[in-house]
Amino acid sequence: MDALVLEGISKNFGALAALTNVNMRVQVGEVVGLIGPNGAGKTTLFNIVTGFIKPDRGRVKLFGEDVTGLQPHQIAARGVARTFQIVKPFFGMTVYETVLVGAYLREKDEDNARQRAEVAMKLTGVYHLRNRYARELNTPQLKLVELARSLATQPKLLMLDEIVAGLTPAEVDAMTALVKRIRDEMGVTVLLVEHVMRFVMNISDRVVVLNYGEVIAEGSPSEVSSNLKVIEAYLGGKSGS
Amino acid sequence: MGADFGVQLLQTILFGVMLGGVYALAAMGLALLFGVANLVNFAHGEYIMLAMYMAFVFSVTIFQDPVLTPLFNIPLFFAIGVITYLGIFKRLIKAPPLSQIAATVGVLVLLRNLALAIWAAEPKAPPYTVFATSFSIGPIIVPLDKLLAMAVSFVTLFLLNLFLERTRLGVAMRASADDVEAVSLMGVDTNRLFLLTTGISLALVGLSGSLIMTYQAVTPTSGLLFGLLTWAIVALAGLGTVKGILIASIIFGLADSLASGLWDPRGREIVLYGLFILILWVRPKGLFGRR
Amino acid sequence: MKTYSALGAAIALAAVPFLVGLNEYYLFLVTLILLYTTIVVAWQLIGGYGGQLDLGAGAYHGLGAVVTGFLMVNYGVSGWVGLLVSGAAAAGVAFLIGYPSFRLGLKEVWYALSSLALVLILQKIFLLWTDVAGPLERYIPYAEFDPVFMRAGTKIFYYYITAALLASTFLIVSRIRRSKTGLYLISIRENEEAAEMLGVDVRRYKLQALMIYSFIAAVTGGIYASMVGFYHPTLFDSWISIQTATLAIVGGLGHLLGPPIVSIILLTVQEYLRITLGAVIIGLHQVIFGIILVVIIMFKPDGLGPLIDSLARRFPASVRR
Repeated sequence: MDALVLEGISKNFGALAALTNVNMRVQVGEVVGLIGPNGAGKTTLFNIVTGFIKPDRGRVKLFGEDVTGLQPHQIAARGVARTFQIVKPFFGMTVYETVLVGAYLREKDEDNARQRAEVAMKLTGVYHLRNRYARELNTPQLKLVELARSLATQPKLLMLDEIVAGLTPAEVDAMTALVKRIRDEMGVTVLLVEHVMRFVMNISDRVVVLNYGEVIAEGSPSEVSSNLKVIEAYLGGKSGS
Repeated sequence: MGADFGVQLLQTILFGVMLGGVYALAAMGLALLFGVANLVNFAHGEYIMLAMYMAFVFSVTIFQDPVLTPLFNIPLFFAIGVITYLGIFKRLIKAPPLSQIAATVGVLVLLRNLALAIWAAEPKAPPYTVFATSFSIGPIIVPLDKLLAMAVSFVTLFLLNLFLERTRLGVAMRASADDVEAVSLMGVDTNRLFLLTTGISLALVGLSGSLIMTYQAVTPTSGLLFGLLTWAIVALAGLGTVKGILIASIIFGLADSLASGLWDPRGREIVLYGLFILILWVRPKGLFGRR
Repeated sequence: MKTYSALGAAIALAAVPFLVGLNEYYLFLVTLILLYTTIVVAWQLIGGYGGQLDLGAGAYHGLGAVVTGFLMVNYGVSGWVGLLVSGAAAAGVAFLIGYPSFRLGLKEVWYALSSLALVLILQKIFLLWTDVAGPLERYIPYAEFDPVFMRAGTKIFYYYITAALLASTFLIVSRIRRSKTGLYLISIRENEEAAEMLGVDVRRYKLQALMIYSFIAAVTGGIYASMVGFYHPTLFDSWISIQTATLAIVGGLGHLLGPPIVSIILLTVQEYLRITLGAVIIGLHQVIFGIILVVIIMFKPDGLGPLIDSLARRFPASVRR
């Protein structure tokens, strides 16, 4: 069974064709990287999978179940967690409370939820910040908190939206190691959107390339990066960041 | 029998259109402030009420006839707009909508009770106007003062539209409604822009106060009615165009007039507010606009 | 530590009638203040935790008064039953307006406006109702002391009912604050999209908060009607909506202690001003209210909540959180 299947997904915003007939598969346990220039439709795709936007055409299937048109919280309940391109912290809450919100999804019992939250915080390395308010933290810390929050929901599919954007190369490497660890220890499938090639190529089992709302290439990182030269020639030079 | 009802219906419709024309001016001020400066002014209705009271005061003390009150009301309320901006709105521009609402609710309370304290609760209407005649088109009676008020409103809206399309300031205002950051990046002093927008917004309110006085009397609770009404018009029209505001206002004017005329004057508010809520639920993006 | 302060507060509340020398007029005022404070505390659920600026308190309070009064007068139903029925009615109305509003994601100003419109719509409907349904008896039959019917001649009866209501409401709200529901609500307030992505059914939790609060607001209205022995459509008052939101915001959105303390203090001040100045200058007390709101928002947008919380922490024996 595939973790995620996109069949013929199309979405228009007025006259703008954001996505056109996108077909994609993510197998259970894979790490798939989604790349492409700005405006290629990556975030729109994320929003469709997570239920924030409804596709004009096509189906979304999660672990064999058709979830097209479901609300975000229903999709979250089916095992999808997601971080956001621009972090969405709960400024008025402490880190602990923030992660606890995630833990409550699966754990009805208060103590179990707290345990789950602590595990997530320790895994991402924010446990020492647990009593600090989110508004006191910097962006890299907020990204880790957002990751912890997502992990506390015990997801089967983890979707990372440009999680290393704005991080220093050292921080990027740390995140690479962390995501590997998460995949190995928690057995999650990972779908990530990224511009930072160093991160994508190191961590992905497979890479999918999106441009102008269409899939134009996919394959292993090495296949795609050699193909990338062809793509760049096709696109007329480096586009995106 | 049927002909009588037909005449009454036409009369009611005419009245509604004229009333809507006048409401449009009041709503335009709100649309400008909300659209350009992204400021939620919960006290907009109270400013309209205040303008009506000032029109009353001027007509009673100076002019005897309300027709010249705009001469005083417009500059007075432009000044009030400037003062309000410098004193309160300037700080609120960057605040979250909740704070803006809370603070302007404070202004609402202040103005409403100020009016209550000064003028008490009985309705006030201007005593006399030289235009209190009417002429007839067939069986339809057209009151001259109300027609004039509507005409003034239309002319003002037309001029405002020209201003927004042809002048540098107007274009800056429209651009700001689209994208405030872009506007400031282009070197426009947003502080000055918002200051002038508030001034113009309230100047429009000042004028509309004078005009609305030809249609209805004013009480301290009128503010709530006009506040909800103008917000309802903005909800229906969206923030796109002057034309959108005008059409939405006429729709509400018609609803107002038909409810009062065909049903019950006390039912008018039920219809207006009910229509408002219906619009919010059915078309949250407005009919003509982009918000 | 917590039990000491809770006990202290309970004793203080119980002692108040004697502190005002069992004066009927003062008892009336104090009961009124506690009634409005109860609405403020309940409002925290939708406004402070849920993040929706609700201006419908006047509608729910009025509904409570009118429905309870109506049942007591026309059907001889006990006031207690009236409270439950009117509470349910208010929750029902809240559902009718909340469900579409939250489903559509009506934000900020539009939700505030539509809830305010609700107050006025109900007022006009009930004003017209008396035309259609014939004269409604508006005076609740007098009884010296009828606890079953929930009617008494002396105000002390209503004072203790209200004090009990305020205490229970406070307990309910503080329990919710520490529960999963409370945390979910605050996450909704902080960032709805993020909350949704964590499995929080935003609409459902907002509706829950709205319905609990509207129920309680209606109960305060029912108690009011029974206390004054009278009900009238003017009880659908937009001022109650505005007052509630104002006190809650000044007291600190989402804070537990701030709103009730600020509420009691400011309402007392308001009554004092009304008594001394009200006859001279009508509405002056409300003008001052308006000024306070504007000033607080501009200089302390988080309200006085944080301040009061830090003060409370200075007295370790009386810390309640």
